[in-house]
Parts: sequence; structure tokens; C-alpha cells
Amino acid sequence: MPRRDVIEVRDLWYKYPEAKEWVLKGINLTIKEGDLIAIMGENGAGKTTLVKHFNGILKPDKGYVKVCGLDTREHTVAELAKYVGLVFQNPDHQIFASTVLEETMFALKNFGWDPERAKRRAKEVLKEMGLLDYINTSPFSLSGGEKKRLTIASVLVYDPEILVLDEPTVGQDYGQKRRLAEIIERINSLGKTVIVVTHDIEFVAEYIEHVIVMSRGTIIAEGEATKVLCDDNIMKRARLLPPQLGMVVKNLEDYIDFKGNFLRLPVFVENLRRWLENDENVKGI
Amino acid sequence: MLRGFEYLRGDSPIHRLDPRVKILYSLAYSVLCFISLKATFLALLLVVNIPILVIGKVLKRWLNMMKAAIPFIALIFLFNVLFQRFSNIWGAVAYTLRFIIFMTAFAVLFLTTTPEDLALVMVKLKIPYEYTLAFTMAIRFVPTLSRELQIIIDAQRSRGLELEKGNILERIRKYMPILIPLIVHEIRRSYTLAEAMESRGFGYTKNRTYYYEMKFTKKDVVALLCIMVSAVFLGILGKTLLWPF
Repeated sequence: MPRRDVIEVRDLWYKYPEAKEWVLKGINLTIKEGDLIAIMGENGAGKTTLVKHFNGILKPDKGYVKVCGLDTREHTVAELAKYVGLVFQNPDHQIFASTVLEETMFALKNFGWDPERAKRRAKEVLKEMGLLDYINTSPFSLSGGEKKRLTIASVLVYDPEILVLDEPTVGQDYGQKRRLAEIIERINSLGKTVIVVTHDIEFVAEYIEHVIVMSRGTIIAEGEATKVLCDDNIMKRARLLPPQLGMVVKNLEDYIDFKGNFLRLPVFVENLRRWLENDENVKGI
Repeated sequence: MLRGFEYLRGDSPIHRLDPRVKILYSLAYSVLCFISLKATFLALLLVVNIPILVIGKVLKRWLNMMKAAIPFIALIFLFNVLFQRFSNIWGAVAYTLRFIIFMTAFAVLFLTTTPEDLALVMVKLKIPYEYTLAFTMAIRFVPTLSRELQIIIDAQRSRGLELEKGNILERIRKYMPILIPLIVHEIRRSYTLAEAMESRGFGYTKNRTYYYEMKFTKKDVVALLCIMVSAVFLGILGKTLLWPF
């Protein structure tokens, strides 16, 4: 069965009020149901501005954005938010409630859920996020990683079809990043579309296969991480450093023909093992 | 919504005047608008201010400020008309004009003087430096605050908060999810800021020296004389009984 388009961006132009320069210059983009995509680029490339169009916080100056068939210009943020869950970069910009449970239930209250049902659903999601022990504590007392997971829970709670995470790895340590990656993979495996906005190249290399690269308000590349992230030209234009494994592969290119998503460590090691097992190869060096 | 308080750099003969001269100007006009309640005299006072705004290249920003103040201006007019039982429309106009002139006199000062210059004046007036700093920082953080406010509003709207729905009480309650993160965030920031300043030696020396020293130039003296002469002239004019209403 062909997957339907959940986000359709056509010739999107946008500039902030009172600003002179366009922040987005003719963006064209199609995202399909169930995709797991990273949007990458330097600071100020327009990544966050682009994703703010997905739930209608910003409306296009030219062109249009359709989310699950709905034109964002004709629908309110509250209507679109049911389809697109946008998790902001800094949890401190949204946390306000006195308990973790209330914080999680905020969106459900806004959408008019019955309180008992909302509570059940919130507990379910908090359990998934490993925060069930904290339901009655103040969200302000959580650690950075827990706060991040709470903000994800507070969006996942109403089961949006599309989840957008803005810079989820900023300020997170390795363990927290791994946990984040597990959550992202789990949500994606349930058939949800997940879009991760980030400039954390190693995180993308390890966990996300499809990449969109932006620079100065335009999309300069889109495709498989193994191709896009290892292309020096694109990386230079986007002012990004290629992933470490990508650089290793580049230097071994003459000897080894890497297959699969070699940016993932297990795949990389498998490629290397297969090559080493062949005595002829080793003699060749 | 906080944009109006943001200081935008500019350059004009008015910008280059000594801030003390401009303070005197604002004070002079705020006194002048209280010496008479004749609408025609007050209208004259307002007109006199306009060339100054033009020279200072801030006429457009002043107009924007006035646009933002329209609800207040309308309210003042309405209350005066109502409480004087429609007997004295010109009086209501005069009160409204008084408010506008008062705002304009200070707009000239604030639109053309950098917060740093105002701080220097405060220091000259022997106000403790800590208070002066609090003042400049408050102005410095207005744009930051307004940006942050916008992010928080966006974040809560993304979770289905609809600020434009509901009656007035519901709407006030809906601002809680916005105000709480803002206040918490700002308090935390102020601690960080204080620590960062202390770690760079803030408060180490008792007697501060300043990079810029304010000096009266010839232009300042001329401006000062102009202000004094025109203020006395307008003052005498305002006290005469020539004004029809």
C-alpha cells in the first residue's frame, strides 16, 4: 500500500514581521506517513522556522503547507496541533504545572478530554517515558533529561500523527541521548512520522537514515544519510562537520566497498569484519 | 507587544545633545502643560513639539507609540466627557491633550537617549550604581524578554492552548501557563547573571570610573538657552487670557 503524504510544502516563502530578509526561500518538501527524518543545518538556516509552519504557528507569506491534507492557512494552531505534536527545544519554555501529571494532561484539557480518561492516558504515556514514579512531583525539580522526556510525553499524550522534535539532544548527556533515540525509534515503529530538527551530526548518523539539509533558507540536499552526510560539498555549504565514521569510510574507500548504513557502528564493524576475513584483501595493502 | 519599549539606536542633532538638556526639555514641557487648561494653548504646545520629533527622526516611532496609547487616550476623553456631563467638551479635549503632551515630552527624551546615557545622568545625580545598573538592565532585557514570551506562547499554543477563546476571566486564567514559565525562567536567569557578573569582579572597586564623561558643548548651551527662552515665553503666553477655549 502506498504511503500517503502527511506534510506537503510547496514553494514556501517566509519572513518575520518587520524583517527585511526572507528566512525561508521557496521550500519544497514532501514527507510521507511513517517517515523518520532529520532536518539539519547550521544555526539560522531556517530549520525551526520551517517546522513552526507544520502546526500553523507561522503562516506562509507565499506558497502553502498542507498537513494531513489540511491547508495551514485555513486552520487554527489548536486544530493542527492534533495532527502535529511540536516539542520545543527548551523545556523551561513550557513547563508550568505544579505536578508532572498535570503538565502531561495540559494538552488533553485544552482539547476537552474527560478528566478521568485524560488521567488514564497521561499515566500510560508517563509510564512509557519512564516518569511514572514522578507523577506527583513538581516538574521544576526534574533533571534535564527527565524534563525533556516530560515535554515529549506532554505532546505524545494526545497521540499526534506527526511528532516534531526541535533540537532534542541539546544539553543531553550520552545516556539521555540513547534513551531519546530509543523513544524516537519506538514511536516511529508504531507507524508515526517523526521529524527531528538538529545539528547533532553524530546523533543523526547513528539513529536516522533519511536527512534533509538546509542552508540559508533553502533545502540544499535530501536523501540517505550515508550519501548526504558524507558529501564534503554539501557539508561545507551547510557548515557541518561530517560524522566521524563517515570520514573513516572516506579514507578507506579505496580498499573497502562499504555496504548498508555504515554510519551505524554495528554495520560499519560488520563491513570491516567481512573485509578482513578475506586474506587477499589484507595482502593487498 | 513589548517592542515599543525597545531602544533603537539612531543619530540626529537631538540624539547628540547632552542627556541633561533633554531631561530639562521634558520637565519644562510637562510643567507647561499643567499651567493652563485651554485646549487651544495645549494644542499649540503639542505642535511646538513636532519639529523636535522630526529633527530627531523619531516622528514615525512617536506616531506608533501614540497609536498604542489610543485606548488610554480614548478612555481619558470618554471619562472626562461623562463626568462633566457633556457640559465641557473643550475641557475634556484639554485633559486629553495634556496627557498626550506629557507623553510626547518624555518620548523625545526616551526615543533619542541611549539607556547608557540615562544611566550616566543617574550616576551624576548620586544615585547608587546598583540602582542605575538595574535600570539599564531592565531596558537591555526588554527585547530578550519579548522574544522569550513569544516562544512560550508558541510552545503552549502548540499544545492546544487557545488564548483568543473564552470570556475575560477564562482568558486571564489562560495566561497562567505563559506567565509561570516566563517568571521562573527570568528568576533563574537573574541568578545566573548575578553569578556571571560577580565572577567578573562586579563590585570590586568602590569608586567607579567611566569610559565616557558627559560634557556640555556649545550646542548644548544653545539648546539649553532655546529651551529656557521658549519655556518662559510659552509660560507667559499660557497665563494670558487670550485663549478662546
